[in-house]
Amino acid sequence: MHPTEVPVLDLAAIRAAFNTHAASLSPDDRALAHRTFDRLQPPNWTLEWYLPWWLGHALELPARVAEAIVLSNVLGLVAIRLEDDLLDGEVTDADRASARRISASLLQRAVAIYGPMFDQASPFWSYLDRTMFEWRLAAEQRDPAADGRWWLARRGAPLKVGARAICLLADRDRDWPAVDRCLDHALASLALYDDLCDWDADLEAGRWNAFVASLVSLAQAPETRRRNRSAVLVALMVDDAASRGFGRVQADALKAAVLARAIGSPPLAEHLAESAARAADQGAAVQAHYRAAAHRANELLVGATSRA
Amino acid sequence: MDVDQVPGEEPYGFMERELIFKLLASHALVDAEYFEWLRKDPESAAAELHIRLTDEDLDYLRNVVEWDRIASVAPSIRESLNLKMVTHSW
Repeated sequence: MHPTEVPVLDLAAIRAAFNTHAASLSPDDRALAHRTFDRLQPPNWTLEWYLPWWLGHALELPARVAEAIVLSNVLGLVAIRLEDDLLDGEVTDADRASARRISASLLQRAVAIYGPMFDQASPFWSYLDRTMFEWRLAAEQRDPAADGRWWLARRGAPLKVGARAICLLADRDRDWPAVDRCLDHALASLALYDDLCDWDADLEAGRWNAFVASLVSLAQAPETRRRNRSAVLVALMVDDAASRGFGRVQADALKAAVLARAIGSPPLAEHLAESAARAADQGAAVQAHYRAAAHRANELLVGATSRA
Repeated sequence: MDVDQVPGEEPYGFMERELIFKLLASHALVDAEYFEWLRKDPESAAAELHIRLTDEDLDYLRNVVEWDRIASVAPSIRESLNLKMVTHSW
């Protein structure tokens, strides 16, 4: 475990650097870039901002290098959020061209940060290409034919690029398998959590959803939407589906926390353990809500007559 | 009566009945169309869920349940099932 306290990440410096990049965009593009950036701040996006900082400290990478990788992550985060929004149909027609331009530009800048850090023969570049390819595949074809949980983790795969860079730059490639596994669990947990919170909206919008898939046997198609929605709600009410769903989120976050501790990053481990605890609390609250609804429904049908 | 049923024996016990009615009630409360189906034709609506109700329970659903009263509160329960109602403060 690294003996020293993790210094405070200079968030203002990262935001200023983002503003510098955004300033080179056209005025219309700049406004959308800032709106998107404003949505992606800590604490909701803590892992995306802090992972390189925490991991860099654990692996004894100079702080200025870790800070550059944080900036790359943040630029990439905005680019990828816009691409995800485009895929999900959440960008207005008026903003679609702008979103595509911003995403391409910021992604290019995110990658350019690594240019001076790695020579052309470095394994980093092939890792970057493979990871981005896997992310695009997972984003565009959300229905996993196999290895469901790892497929889900690939939705957040770009986050692993900075972590891979840190292991290589710190000459700590031996730590990569543990870091890789830790992030797979963390990203699977995040993806499952998203699908739990968004299942109804995803069903409505015709987007494949992992939580729905875990509860229904029918395909997620427009003609089965109503039946699938009923099946999920009934499972939430009578079959403890929320407890089980949030339980899976919690379990993956806890596995990631254990690995983060083994890697020697207490703040990363603590963040993941807190996420796990929050998932458990939220699961209990959601389940209690649906149990109460089931109880009320049951009372209406049978309770008043005391017929047994 | 179920062909596999032993004469004189109920096809399901108290606990199973509890579960069956909880399932029927939940389906009826989440899905307005199922609610109407259960109200009008409880036998086939239950069969949709692979449930074969006893004659006594069918009679109960046809003649005892106060469907109008349930129908008046069903929309508010249905609305409360929106997950956003629980997660809005997260």
